Amino acid sequence: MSNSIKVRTELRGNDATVRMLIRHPMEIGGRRKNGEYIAPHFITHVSCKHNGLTVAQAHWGPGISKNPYLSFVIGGANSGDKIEVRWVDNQGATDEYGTEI
Amino acid sequence: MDERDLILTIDRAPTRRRLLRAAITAACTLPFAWIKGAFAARPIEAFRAETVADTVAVLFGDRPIPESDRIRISAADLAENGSVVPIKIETDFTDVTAVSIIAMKNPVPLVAKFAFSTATKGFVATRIKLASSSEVIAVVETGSGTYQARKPIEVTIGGCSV
Repeated sequence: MSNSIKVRTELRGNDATVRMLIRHPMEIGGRRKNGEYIAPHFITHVSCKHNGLTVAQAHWGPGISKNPYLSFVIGGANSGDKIEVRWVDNQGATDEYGTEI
Repeated sequence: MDERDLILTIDRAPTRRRLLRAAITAACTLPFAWIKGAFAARPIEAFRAETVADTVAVLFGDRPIPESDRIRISAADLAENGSVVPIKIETDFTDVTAVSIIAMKNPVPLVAKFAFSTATKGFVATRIKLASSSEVIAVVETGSGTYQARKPIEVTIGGCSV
């Protein structure tokens, strides 16, 4: 199910701005909906590789908004470089996505 | 209930709590054991801290964290909806290794900790939840020290329950 991640990259000189949107409930847990207890369900890790090297990692708690957005800038990037994104949530679900700059 | 029973009861309570805590810790940690190679260790204790002081102590120990005007937090002064507050942290430090976002009044103050390799520039943007109007602290760890910046953000509707 590699369609929970959307990645956009923009190259300016050798700086690549990576923007990603992940579809995820980021549920804080502990509240009730129609009398049913909602379990915590949020992404705990996101990692991003640039040409196979891990350049950014995010450790998240439930304080990140639903359908998380994350952006950062990689230096020394070129057109055609590989970007791989992977996330894991607290229930063990995971997804990954690869693209090129 | 004689005295011995009472002592037993008192004795048992912390043990049960410890057991429960151990079980929860195991349940939370085990799923991540297999991906250990792929990710740097998650600051689990820091996400468990319920006060800002504890969070800072767990993450940074007693390291001095001076405020720096080389870190800029961009976010709306007034956020209508506390469950989606866009925030951007920029710095001109060139050797940034980590950026942590701490919300002063959130039930879990540590919102996120980002770890960066030196290939990245000092920039990160995301969207966070704020339980109520409060200051947001960005702590930037660099090769030459740890620095912080603060910004108060006003929230109309808290994002605690979302």
